[in-house]
Amino acid sequence: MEHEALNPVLEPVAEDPMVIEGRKRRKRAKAMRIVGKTGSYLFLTALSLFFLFPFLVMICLSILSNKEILQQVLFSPTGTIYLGTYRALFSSGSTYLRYLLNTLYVAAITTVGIPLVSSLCAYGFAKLEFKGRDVIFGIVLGTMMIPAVISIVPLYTLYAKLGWINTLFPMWVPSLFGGGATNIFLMRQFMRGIPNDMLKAAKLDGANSFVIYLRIMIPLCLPIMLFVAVQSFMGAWNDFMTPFTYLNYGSESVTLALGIYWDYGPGSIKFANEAMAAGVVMTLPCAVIFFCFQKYLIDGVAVTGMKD
Amino acid sequence: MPDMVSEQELSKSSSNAVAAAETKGTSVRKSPEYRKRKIRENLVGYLYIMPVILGVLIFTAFPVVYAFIESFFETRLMPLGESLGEFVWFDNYIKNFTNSFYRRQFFQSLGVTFLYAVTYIPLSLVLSFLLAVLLNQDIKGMKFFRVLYYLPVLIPAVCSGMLWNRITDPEYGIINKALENIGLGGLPWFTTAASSMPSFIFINLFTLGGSMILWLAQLKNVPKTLYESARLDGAGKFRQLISITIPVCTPMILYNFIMSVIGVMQTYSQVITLTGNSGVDNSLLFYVFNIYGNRVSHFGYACALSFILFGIIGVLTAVTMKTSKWVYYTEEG
Amino acid sequence: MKKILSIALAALLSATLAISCVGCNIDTGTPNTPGGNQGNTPGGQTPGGSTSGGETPGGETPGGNQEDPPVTNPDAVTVTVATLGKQDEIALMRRWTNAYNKAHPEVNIQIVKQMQGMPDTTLWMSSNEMPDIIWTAGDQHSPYSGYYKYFQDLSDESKFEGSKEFFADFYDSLIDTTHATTEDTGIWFVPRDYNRLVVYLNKTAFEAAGIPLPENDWTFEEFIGICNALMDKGAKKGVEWMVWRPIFTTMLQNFGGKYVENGKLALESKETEACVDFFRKIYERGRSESDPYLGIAMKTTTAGEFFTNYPDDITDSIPMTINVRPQLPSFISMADAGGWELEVRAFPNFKQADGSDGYVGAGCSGYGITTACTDPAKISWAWKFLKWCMSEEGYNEVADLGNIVPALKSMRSKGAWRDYEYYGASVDADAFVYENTRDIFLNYQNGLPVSKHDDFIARIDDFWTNILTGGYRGAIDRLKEDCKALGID
Repeated sequence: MEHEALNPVLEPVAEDPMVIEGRKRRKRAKAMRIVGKTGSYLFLTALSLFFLFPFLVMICLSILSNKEILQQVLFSPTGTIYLGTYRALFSSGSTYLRYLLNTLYVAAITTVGIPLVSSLCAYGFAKLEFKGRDVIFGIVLGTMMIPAVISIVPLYTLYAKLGWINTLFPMWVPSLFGGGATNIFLMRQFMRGIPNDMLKAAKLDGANSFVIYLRIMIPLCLPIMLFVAVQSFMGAWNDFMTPFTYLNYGSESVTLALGIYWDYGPGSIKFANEAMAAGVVMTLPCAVIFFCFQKYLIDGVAVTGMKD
Repeated sequence: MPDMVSEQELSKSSSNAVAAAETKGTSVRKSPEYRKRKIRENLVGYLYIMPVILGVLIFTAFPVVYAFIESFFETRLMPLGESLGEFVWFDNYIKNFTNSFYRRQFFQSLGVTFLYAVTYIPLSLVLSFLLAVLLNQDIKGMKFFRVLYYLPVLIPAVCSGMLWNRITDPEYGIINKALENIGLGGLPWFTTAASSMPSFIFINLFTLGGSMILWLAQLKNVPKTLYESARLDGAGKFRQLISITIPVCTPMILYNFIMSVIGVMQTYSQVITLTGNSGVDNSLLFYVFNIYGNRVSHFGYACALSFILFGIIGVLTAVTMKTSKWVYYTEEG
Repeated sequence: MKKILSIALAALLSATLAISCVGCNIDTGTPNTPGGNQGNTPGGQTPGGSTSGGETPGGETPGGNQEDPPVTNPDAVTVTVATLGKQDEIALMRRWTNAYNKAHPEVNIQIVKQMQGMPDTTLWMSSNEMPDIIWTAGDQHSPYSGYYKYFQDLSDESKFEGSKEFFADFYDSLIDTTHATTEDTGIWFVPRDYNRLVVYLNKTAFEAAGIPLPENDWTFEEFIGICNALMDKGAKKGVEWMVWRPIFTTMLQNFGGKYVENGKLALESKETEACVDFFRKIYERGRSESDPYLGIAMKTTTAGEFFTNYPDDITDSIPMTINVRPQLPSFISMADAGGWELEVRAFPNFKQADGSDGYVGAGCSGYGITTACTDPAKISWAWKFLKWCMSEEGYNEVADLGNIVPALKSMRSKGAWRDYEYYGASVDADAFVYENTRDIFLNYQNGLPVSKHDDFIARIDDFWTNILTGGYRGAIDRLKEDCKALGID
């Protein structure tokens, strides 16, 4: 068999029935594989239509004119592309622009701040020795189990006392205090993978812990920091419950998630095309960032998936 | 992984050194220099983790303790430090069982939440696993499909709520229009109590891509040698799936399961952005709706409700962990 | 990675191409005017969604008026205002503040908050953000005025000069709603409008059916007769009858039932049973020759549409609906778009057994001055502003919005509000103030502790939704159990 497999061309007219049998089987297997492959592709394509559906509908509806929306179509019957919806979103004085700016402000701070703060804390937990370190880390991890709603509701009173209601502070200040247990955990896991010898060598050279953190840890941790940064951006961008709880209706500090809910959400009388355009604009940055940092995201997910 | 070991060894050896010092006499330990260094080390360590300590104290511990205290009071939302309200012992907890009005709401919300949990969590686990297996094939263009399937996850929850709200509208939505055009007749979607939950589960299936990615990452981690030896033993593809892939993935399943339970128990924003309320006849009255609905006028009761939720999640997690004998840990795990 | 990126981009591009290849002209369109007439076309509108308080049912807002930019006077005393967060409510208040700020440069009245319901006030109070003037409604303010004490008593002559004279001109039923309880004498807010239930009619449908329009002094029997006549002529149902507390309460009173008497639940009675029976009958599917009440009404939810689907054929339309004045602008523009004519009649007179006139629910929105407003200068300006809004001049300023019936008795038969037109279409203004029935003010708790007002209302709403599934017995038993648990016998 082996011999036949190696030299099928050299012996084209092999009389051996075994060989013919083998060739037939191979042919059948190949045919099967092709059938299987096409089957797979067909199935995958059909499924991808399913998963593309929300995206496509959103885009298609956003480029219809008001008249066409009333005709309940997905594609314009006259084949026009109407961009007035997008123009309306970005026309001067539109509230949407304000939402966008607010969201960008929050997202920028958290995207930069959370990786820094959480790496600082994670460094402490991973590489420094001090009393009660593991206990404190356990407590920090334990907060992951506490349902968010249990603190989000009473925090209103604290924020009210601080004068933070109807401001953007509740959206970013708390996240700068540690950056969240999950992020610290991820960073710590990653940092524990960095050999201690390296740090020791630096220490012998007279570097203090902060220099080590700055010069060695941060450059080495860039991938995970990037992952955390992207996650923080997405988190800040999509966050609905925080503004929903701490902003009064019609507040100046409304972010995109809440603004879209109020302006275009259930009970809204605005046209679907404008609503969809607002949705497309909000989704776009997430999609772009996903495509750019896909590798880090998937790798990061691998890290997340591993913790057990 | 080897570094972890080395670090463990390191700490072990250092503690050995301390032990050795102790046995030698207390001279090293007592020396002021040593103590000074130790204090300094501790201080520096605390300095690094100061943000998270403060964060946990201010933004977790404080509200949790405050909510726990308020859960024994009957009060509306009041300025901090002004008044706790009227002390009512355990009334806020008990009235979920004794007071007919609260009982009905409480159990309705529990029922809805659990119904969603027991249908959606297994469904999404199984379906995303199947998807991952499907996409784990060695065919060209697989990465492309993975990205495609992940796309709906990128749509912010509020946008997808708005989108589905619009297109499932029985009168004006395009889905029913399309179904009618092909002669299938429209679906009631969120306009009847019976169809609300299935519809909600259906539209959540679009985010399967998220857990699919987790599965894929896990599938990649399955050692190839295991498959090879299985093949040598004559195990078929299906057999390999059952007796290798799934057991190796069990830690991920456990983790995913617990996280899903915690998440599903707190379902709120997905529904509020979709329907704006708790659905027809409260068919989508998830547990957190009661907390949010009461947080202003019956703040104490809302706090009590959130602690009951805390308890439920705790019990569910504990039970899962206790019964997690089925989880198979590889040497590395 | 780059490969995937390019593939994905290509996919997106091809999707866009696929759309554009049908034809190729790209229409950049004109920027939409926010708040323009587009808001009323049902295409972009989604039913459902909670209407949070407010005296107007339905999530619709009348369009027609582009939002005015706010007029501000810097370096002046600033008085802050909260309105209900609906487009028409904001437009109304904006109109008043702008006009007032223009006329009085020394004051700056500013809308700073939009509320979704009265609970918002508790949020503001706890975060120290309570505005000076806030919107409220006759049937919603009592826990906030009588128990939480968020409002100032406007009947206090020493603080609010001329209040006695000012309030004397308001409809009596509206003044009743300004008290927190029946014993209370405080006036906690200035009523803004006089919202009685009225019947909106599709005049074109009546003409097509050959049925003469009723007069304002029609009786309930005539109303039922018209419903049946319309259905005989092919209308699907005679009237769209909302599941809405004010309508239930009106009918309950007409049947002689009561929610509460002497602090106790008084709903369990023969009268209530008759009323429940009435509602069960009108929502029935079938019809019967012997029982004129059976199946005349289409049940609509609070957020539902009205005059749904009026095509050329009368059979698909429902020619009548019961609602209040604030819905007029949206109905009249709906009629305009649908090519039919709208008319209004007073609520039919449900003659009582002793021959006296029946009742109709009358409610109102209004504005109160909050306890957070402590600066005498601000109080004085807030009071002057409210007095001006609810004067003939103030009402005339907003008459073209069309959603207000003035709360002043002296304006019953005069004022610009009576001349409201929408592209030439108008309705009978008398219907909104016609005295064929007696007003009941919609303050339900009559003698209940004010702290339980909201809880009680939630139970009452539950009761009315339960009557259809549980019947009178089932619903009343459940209500009794619920109220007992609440501490009300």
